[in-house]
Amino acid sequence: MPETVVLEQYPFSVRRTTAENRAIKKERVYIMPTRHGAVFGLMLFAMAIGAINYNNSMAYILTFLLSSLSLVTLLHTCKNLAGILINQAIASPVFAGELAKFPLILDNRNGQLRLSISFIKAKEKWQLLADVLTSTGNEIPIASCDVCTNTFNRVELPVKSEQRGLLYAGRIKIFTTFPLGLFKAWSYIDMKQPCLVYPNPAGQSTFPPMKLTEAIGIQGNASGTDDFIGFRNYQKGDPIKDIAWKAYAQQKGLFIKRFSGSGVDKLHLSWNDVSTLPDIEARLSQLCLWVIEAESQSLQYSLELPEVFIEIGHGDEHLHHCLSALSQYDIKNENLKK
Amino acid sequence: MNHKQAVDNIPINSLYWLEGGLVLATLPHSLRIPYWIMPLFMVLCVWKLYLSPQNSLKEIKFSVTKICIFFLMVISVIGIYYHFGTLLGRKAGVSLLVLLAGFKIFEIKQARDFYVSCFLGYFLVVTNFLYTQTIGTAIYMACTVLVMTLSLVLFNDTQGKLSAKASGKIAATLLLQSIPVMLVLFVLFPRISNPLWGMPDDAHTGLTGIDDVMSPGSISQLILSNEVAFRVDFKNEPPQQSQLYWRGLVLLHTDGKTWSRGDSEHHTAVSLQTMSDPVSYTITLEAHNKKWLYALDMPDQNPQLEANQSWMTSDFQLLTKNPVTRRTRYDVTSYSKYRITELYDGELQTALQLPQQLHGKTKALIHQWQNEGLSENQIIDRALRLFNEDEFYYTLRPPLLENDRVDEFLFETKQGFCEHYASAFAVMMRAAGIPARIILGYQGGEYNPVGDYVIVHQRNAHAWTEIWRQGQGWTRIDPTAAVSPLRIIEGIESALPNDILDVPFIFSQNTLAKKLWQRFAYRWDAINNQWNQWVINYGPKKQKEFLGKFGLRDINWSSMIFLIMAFTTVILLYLTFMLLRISPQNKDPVKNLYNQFCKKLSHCGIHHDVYEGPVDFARRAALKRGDLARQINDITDIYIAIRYGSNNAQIPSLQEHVRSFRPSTN
Repeated sequence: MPETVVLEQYPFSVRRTTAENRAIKKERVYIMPTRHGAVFGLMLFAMAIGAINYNNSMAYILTFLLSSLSLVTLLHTCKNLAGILINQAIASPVFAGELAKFPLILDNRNGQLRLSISFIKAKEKWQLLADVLTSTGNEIPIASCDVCTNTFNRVELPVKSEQRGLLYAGRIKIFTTFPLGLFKAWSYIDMKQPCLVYPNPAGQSTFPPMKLTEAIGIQGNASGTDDFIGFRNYQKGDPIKDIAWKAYAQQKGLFIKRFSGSGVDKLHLSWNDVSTLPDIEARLSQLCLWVIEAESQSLQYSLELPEVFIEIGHGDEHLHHCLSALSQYDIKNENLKK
Repeated sequence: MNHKQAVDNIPINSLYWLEGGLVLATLPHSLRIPYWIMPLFMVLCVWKLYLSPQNSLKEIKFSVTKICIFFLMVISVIGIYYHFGTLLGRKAGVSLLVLLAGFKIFEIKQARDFYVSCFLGYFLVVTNFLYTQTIGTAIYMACTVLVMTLSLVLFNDTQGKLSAKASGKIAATLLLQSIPVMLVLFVLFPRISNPLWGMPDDAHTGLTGIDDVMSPGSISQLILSNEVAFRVDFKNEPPQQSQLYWRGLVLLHTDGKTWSRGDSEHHTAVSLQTMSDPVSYTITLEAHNKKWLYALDMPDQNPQLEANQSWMTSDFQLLTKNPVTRRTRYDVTSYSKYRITELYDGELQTALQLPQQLHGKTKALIHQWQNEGLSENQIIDRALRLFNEDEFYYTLRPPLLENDRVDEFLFETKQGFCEHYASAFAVMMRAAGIPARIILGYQGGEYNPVGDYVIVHQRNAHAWTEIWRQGQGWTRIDPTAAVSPLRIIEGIESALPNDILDVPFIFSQNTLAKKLWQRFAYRWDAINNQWNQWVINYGPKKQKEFLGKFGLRDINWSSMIFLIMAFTTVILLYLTFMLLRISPQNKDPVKNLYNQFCKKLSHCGIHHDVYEGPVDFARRAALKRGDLARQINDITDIYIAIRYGSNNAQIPSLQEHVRSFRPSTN
């Protein structure tokens, strides 16, 4: 179950978890002046010196008003983040090299309008101090959004996927400098839901010829189109037109009419087909391309990898099954360690 | 690549507002700085707006512009140096600041430039206060600060969702919420009376007031000024208008054209023989950047000043050690009837000095009178009668006098005002061997019934004479009174046309309107007086006085800072609470409605479990209470549509359904 994060409502509040929902994790909101805020402070100092030197009441008033304004802004900046509930949704898989989009659901049911909330990849923990000291307020965010009153808002954080496997967005810094840019309030979200990254499809798009011809005439579990040869049990993903409606009407259950498969191309893709390619990634890319091609040509296909065999099949789910097998080939253990 | 992104990140609307704020902040300066700076500033602003939408100008073209701008900048700085002869000082500094703001706007490329321009704008606002601190200025500058803050809000709205009005509202909210802490700081921040270091030499120029010489035209300029010279609070009834002679300087030396001060300031005070009841009053003198004070004829001793030292000279001038560069309040006691009979060595000789070559005709006239056998007193009367009976006119626009000012005035033009009459009379007296001196100061004053004080304007500036009479000592004689008695009895206002008195044309046509206008003007001046007393003049003394009302008269700095921190903390905690609390209205209205629904069901014995989703709960409830099944399902469907489909438009429908859901409790 995905974890819910709440950015703490009051600064320094003691309770880290709320009584009503223990599944909610509380994250502290940090706040520091930005570099512009520091410049503003210097300006205020110069103004104060001027006011004292000239003993000018209006200069005093403006200096005090702006000093007070910076304090009030601090609260408003903090308020812009405080109390927001964040859930991570599941990211759709992408092919390596594409932008993975990690969706976040910002739950603002208890809050006012929050403007200009930005996200950026958090630095490593040891860089945190440097991050605090150099908080410039003008980091280029990977995503920003406004969060309306009393609503859910979905925001997608784009992260470039480098290689196949599971991609973790890691620690994400959520920050805002609204309203005046003098302060930056921020907090961290641990993105625990990974995004599945398929191998980058590459290679030649023509299928291994041997396999295609071999496939002809083989009667697998899938249905052909020619001569009726019998029934089998219904499986998810079978075409509706092949359902034996007569049997269903007689309340015998769902059956699929089977035909001889000479009209259907059955494609068996296996590790051996790509053994000529130099390295594992190239082989996976080639297989990936073939799987996609097969799917788009409505072929029945199976996939055989060392230690993994995926039965012949067709459809989005089957495709996803195959592609995830390809993407996680040989790196499962590595990911488990994470 | 990141850099490029930042270039395009300056939203045009925030730039508009920033420029608007900067123009507002610089506009009042436009007459104080060299005339060419303001147009240049405007050109830079408009040029930037023209450039802005097409930031993708070719790099080469832009760098040509850059070189041009650089040269323009160098030339402008040289221009300022040429104009003022320095780059330091207040005016040159302000000019440079305006220029800097203009060029900074032009080169805005990144967020940093935007912030720096905005902060420059705030700083420009402060520089305006060095020149004027009126209520009007305060309101105008408050608007300027609001516009500047608005531009910051717009700039920080990275999604571009806010309209100018909405961000104006945010900026106004921020500024309003800043006021309490500002007040605490203003009241409690420890004030010091002396500047931290020397002010630039031109820090106090441009202040109007009487000069320490009386040269042609020096007074007539003042008479056209509506500025306030000082305000006076009398402890009791104010004396009559004709008794209000506000003594400033004593002029002893003349070169035939200009009257200047003698060396009487080096002689210590002599005692005053008083012959009437004392009149006590408090004067609030506007800054005039001169080293003297004013007091009603005749003060008995020098007043105590807060941040300055004063002393009284033998001819009853009140002098100060340092120029009066800020509004100063002091208590004086004066006597309307007095006798000054003590003299210092050579005082009478000095008071007989006349230029040898000049005033031939006047001297001849006096000799003629003396030859007629007139006594001193008769000569004085004769001279005053001359002004009164001969065709002398009181006018503020006299003909120009070129050579011998006294002779020309007495025998040819016969038109003039106090400065002419006083100098002519003094010359006549000196020619007759009667010691005479000219007193510069103010005469009259306007009683403000709203604030119960007397206002003395610059237009009340006046010059009169004192002559030495055997047995009576120094006696005041005002020759102007001989020509224009109204001037003295009713005040300068009766002698001035309406347009100088600042009465708008529509009000000057009938007496009632004029009176109404006058009432308004009094009220306005009373407000201004309060503003000056409590805001502008809030210095160490006033702070002590104010804190004394709360029993904190002897508070020291550390306690003041402690109090500031304490108050600020309380205010900020309150603000924090107000801002961050989840108000019941605010709290998820949809959830509230659903909870109401669950509560109604629980009255029928169907309790909603924490782990139970809305669909499961609805199914269970509908099984238990088949009669309510339809309503339960409707409410659940709408709830789900809103909650999980973000279909907020259905909230009213949910409200309606939940309201009309009244399960019977059987």
